[in-house]
Amino acid sequence: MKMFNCRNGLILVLGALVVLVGAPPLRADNMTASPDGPEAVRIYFTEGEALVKVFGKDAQVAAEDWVPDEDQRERIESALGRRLTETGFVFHRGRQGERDLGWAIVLEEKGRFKPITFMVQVKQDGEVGMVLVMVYRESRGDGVKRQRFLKQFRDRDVDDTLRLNRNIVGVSGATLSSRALTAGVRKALVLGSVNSGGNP
Amino acid sequence: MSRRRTIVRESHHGLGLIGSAVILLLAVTGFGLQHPTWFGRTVAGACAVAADPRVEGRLLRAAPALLEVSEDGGTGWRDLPLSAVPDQPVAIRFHGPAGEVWLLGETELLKSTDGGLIWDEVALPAAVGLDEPACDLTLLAGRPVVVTRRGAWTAGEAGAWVELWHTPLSGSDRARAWFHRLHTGRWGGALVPRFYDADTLHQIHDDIEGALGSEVHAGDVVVHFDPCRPPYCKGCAVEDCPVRSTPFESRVPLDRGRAVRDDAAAEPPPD
Repeated sequence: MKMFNCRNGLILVLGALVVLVGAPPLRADNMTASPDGPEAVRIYFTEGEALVKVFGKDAQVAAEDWVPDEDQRERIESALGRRLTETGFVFHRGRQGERDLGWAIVLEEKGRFKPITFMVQVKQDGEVGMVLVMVYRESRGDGVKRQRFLKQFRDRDVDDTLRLNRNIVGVSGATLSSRALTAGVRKALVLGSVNSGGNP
Repeated sequence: MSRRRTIVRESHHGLGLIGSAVILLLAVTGFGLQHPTWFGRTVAGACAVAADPRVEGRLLRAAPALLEVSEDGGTGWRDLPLSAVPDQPVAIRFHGPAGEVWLLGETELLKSTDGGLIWDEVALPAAVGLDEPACDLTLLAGRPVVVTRRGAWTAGEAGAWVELWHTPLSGSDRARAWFHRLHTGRWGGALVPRFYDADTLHQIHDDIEGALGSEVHAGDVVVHFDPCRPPYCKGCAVEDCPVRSTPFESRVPLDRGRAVRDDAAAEPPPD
């Protein structure tokens, strides 16, 4: 029996073409429309879930709004080397009974095209406890959500100059997302320091 | 016949072993890439350097994700605080006596007005991006000129970019871009800027609606930007919508007749 004749070959080629051309629209089905075109929005944690993850389900968490004054903004911008685009921040302070569990903040940093939303938890002693990627919006590079990358930030404090490729190793294929997270954790530490009266 | 069968069988075994080795290599290295700390940091050299005209011996240099300053003509270097340095720095340019300095990456542009201590991000022309990375920067009458391999833009009045020249994509370039998008998932879709400033968004919305309104009868066209508003709910079939106030009824037919009828219904009766 001649299995691979001309007709079968043609069907195979056409089938492959259908798969290739059909793949992007199929991918688009899994995407959520956004103001800047189709994007792969992946929500790993809502704010509530992230707070439970970093503080535990029995913790009492109080949100505290903070609008830095002019002097505080200057100190933050000097320490970060860039302008602040936000006007205010929300610190989530966790307690379990009398025990102070530190604070957590939700920030956004631009990856290649779109912002990555993440939470940084800082322990009572000012060192990073946990970092969680909450929302990732790009089609590539979500390897930064893994703790094998994020755990590099643990126990760092505001005196650590976090630098990609120097003391933080980026995820291959997700360099800009790695850079965004690195800059974001540094920002959280600087915000915490200035909020508590420090001068980073 | 028997010899031929032996050759085929041995070749099959050999190919199988080679294939297995390749798959194993891919699996191990792929697993390794997901564990960045195993391989240590990437050592990246500086690829953009510029001398500060205000201070003798002061230099800025940028490497991927690293910006440094030297105060002694390049002997000693220290980090500047900016941690969001462009991934692929292309050029640093100082301008004027006031400490204005520009830092261009392949897909990013930053500006500092204090010699490089604090930076602001400046949006690049829409055409500059992964498909057309920036490759040079110069300053013309104090305004940045961003150059790619196919075009150049300068900042015009009110910060808008003005095209100086731009060569359209050739057929082979378009085919290459098509294949690239096919493999990278960056396929199709209208790319509209993301706005963080509601006033800018409203202004652009009004401009677009005004421009369209000048081409067609006023009221024939409604420009709608997200986020949705409750009046759109009955014509919108999006599931699990967080702002839905009424259930979906039917799609609004996109025809001129309906728009005219709705518009006419709202008009006062003629005298």
